[in-house]
Amino acid sequence: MNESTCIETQDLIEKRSAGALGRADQARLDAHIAECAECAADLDLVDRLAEEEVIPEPAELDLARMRNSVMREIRAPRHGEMFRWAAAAAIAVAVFGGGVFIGRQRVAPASTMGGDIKVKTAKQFVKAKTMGGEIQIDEVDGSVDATTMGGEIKANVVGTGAGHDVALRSMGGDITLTLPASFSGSFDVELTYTKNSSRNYTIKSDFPLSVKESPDWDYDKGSPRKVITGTGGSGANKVRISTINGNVVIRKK
Amino acid sequence: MDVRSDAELIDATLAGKSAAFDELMKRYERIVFKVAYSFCYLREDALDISQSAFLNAYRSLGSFRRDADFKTWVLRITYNEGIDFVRRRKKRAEETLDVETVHPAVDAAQERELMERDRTIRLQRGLEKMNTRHRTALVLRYLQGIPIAEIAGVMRCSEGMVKNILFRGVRTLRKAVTENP
Repeated sequence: MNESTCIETQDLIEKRSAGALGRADQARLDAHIAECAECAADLDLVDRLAEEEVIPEPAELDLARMRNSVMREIRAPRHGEMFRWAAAAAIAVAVFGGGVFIGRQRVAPASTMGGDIKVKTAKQFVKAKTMGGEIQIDEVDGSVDATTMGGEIKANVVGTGAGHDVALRSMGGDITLTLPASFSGSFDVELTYTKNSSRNYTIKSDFPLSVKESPDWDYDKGSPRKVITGTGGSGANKVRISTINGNVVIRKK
Repeated sequence: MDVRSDAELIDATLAGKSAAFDELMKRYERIVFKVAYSFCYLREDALDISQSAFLNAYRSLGSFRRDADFKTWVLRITYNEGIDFVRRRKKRAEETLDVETVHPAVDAAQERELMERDRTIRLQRGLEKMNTRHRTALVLRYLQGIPIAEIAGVMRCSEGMVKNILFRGVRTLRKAVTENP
């Protein structure tokens, strides 16, 4: 039996698997396998592959666990929300990419789908978000809420008293916050680093913080990771900082 | 209740409704798992590969071309994740100067006994010993019933090439099953 005939027969076996074998083709197939033990055995094997459970069905519980891990990555609120915007960024960056510069404003809301944001001075509040890029706030006498999907954040808060809450989040990059020496508030810092990173990230603060590091790698959120937290302080304002694979520096001025 | 199409779920996901992606995962998680399993033959590793594949799919969803089939696209990502997994495992095995073993060691006599006892096990072992490309093609085509045109999309090769891989794969597997391990 020559191989070209066998290859043609393979096409017939394919058609048969797809349920698309006509009578004439069935007759050709039957005739061939009656003569060719090789193709007859192939056909038998293909049938067995389809019928026997050679790859086990996954358990519902395992699948649910896997889905939950993915959804946790996607939905992770505040700390570690790396992927929810990633999809949007992938679409929009090319279209809207570019920087934003804001000069002197009473309030400064800014948003870009990819690019740097720079705020010179602002009062009352700054809210800035970029899907990837640096955020630099030279001076704000009020609250700050800044998020980047990847990039450095530098913010300088001036003024004291209530109304100076700070929330800085980067999904990858250093965060530097400068506060007045008399700043009063509670600090909640979270630095996550992944196993495949340089792993030498630190939280440095001129304000007293209790710094702790998780002892074990967390394997539930994609890349294995550890978390360093820094907490302390009390007062009218809240400072929340989170980053992944970046340093956190909090300075007194 | 109306069943939403893949395209509708993708739109909803991109609009920030992550629950829609959960629905997409539920739709394809079994086939993704089985393709992943064909690369590693370990449940935990297959789940890890599946998880990485879905996360990559989520991250890349914005670049997904709407004229393509989502299932083929996500299987292609799984296939690539599987290839990466095999490369990493091979590298680890080389680094530790260890011979790669997927299953706990079973002595030859035990294995022969197992082979004779259960032809399904024989088929499973035969599949495990095949090269990844042949095995994945066989799994996609004969275990999952994926059409050849779609497999060509997953493996990024021509339909003729898929047919050739299947032909060679069936012959190789049959030889592995019939000959002594």
